[in-house]
Amino acid sequence: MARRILGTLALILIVTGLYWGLVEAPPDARQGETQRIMYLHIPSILVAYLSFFIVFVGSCLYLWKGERRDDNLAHSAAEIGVLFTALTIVEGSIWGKPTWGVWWTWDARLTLTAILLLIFTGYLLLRSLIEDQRRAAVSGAILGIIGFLDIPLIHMSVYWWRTLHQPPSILRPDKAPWDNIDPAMLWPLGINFVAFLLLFFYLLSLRIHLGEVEEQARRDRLHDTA
Amino acid sequence: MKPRYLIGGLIIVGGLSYLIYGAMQEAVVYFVTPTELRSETTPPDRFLRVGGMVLPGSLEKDLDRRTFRFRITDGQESLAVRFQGVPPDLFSEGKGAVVEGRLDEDGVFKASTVMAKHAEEYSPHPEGEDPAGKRSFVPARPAGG
Repeated sequence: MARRILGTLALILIVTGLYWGLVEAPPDARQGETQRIMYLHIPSILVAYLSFFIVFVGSCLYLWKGERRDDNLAHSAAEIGVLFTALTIVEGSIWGKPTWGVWWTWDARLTLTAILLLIFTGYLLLRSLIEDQRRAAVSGAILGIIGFLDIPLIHMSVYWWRTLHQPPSILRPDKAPWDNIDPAMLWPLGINFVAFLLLFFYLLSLRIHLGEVEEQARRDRLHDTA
Repeated sequence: MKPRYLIGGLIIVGGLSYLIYGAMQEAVVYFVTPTELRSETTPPDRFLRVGGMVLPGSLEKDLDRRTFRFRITDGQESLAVRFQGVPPDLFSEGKGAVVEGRLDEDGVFKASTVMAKHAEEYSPHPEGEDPAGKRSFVPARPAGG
């Protein structure tokens, strides 16, 4: 029931945020209509960051205490993180072509983001290849912790190295979001961010539930064969 | 885990690490500045990226031949660039750009790709200014709000 409310709320906010961002908000003075991709691109990557942070926390907890619950959390968050990372790259690419002039370029930020997608696609592959539950969980936890370390690199890449990608508009210590983004654009961005967050928690709770059902089914099978 | 899985895994991880290392080597030095280019003898025909600002007043367009000539500057040195093609919308004088290509024998950079940088700042058109073709449903707010 709570999950259904969460899902409905996410849907309502996504429709509101998209209408506001894609129709109501003014076009950007420099980039024109293309800039509207920002309303999807920024929330997508922030949710991907959050997903892999949860993978990191769940993996640490699992290695420490060895509880199935924490591994299920990490595995579930990783799947959603891969989805949102892939979305971020697709949106960024569509944004890059008209503004930068290229769909893709090998600058540090884009390369590290591609590596993030590669690591966590590998994580899902690794887990599906290892038959033994415990081993899959331990290997996954180690890779999940290592993989998360890519995120600070991605975020700082635009400061540490020369990149085509611009510095962050939101997550930065020296400037507030409203110094970079006009309120008429920051509002729909904020709504979309909350909408994506709710969507994330909705998908996460569904995926955790699925993991629990799978675990139960496995236990039942073991019980039957015993 | 069986040894063959371990060996297979190590080969995959090793291969990936090598690819990632190679990609990062290139990505870390994404572009050189005209000053850096000047201070080293770059063999012609080496693929390069040069970044900086399009020097104001330097842009010459030959639209019939789709040829653009301009200078890229880092504030100290500047580099002459020739490009045939369609530059991105945001490419203009006084703005950041990264060009990809090779240095000619005559010292002119022949760009095969021109990329424009853009800022992390977003704002609507200033009040009263609403260029044709740009839809706006909400009245524009004063810039810098």
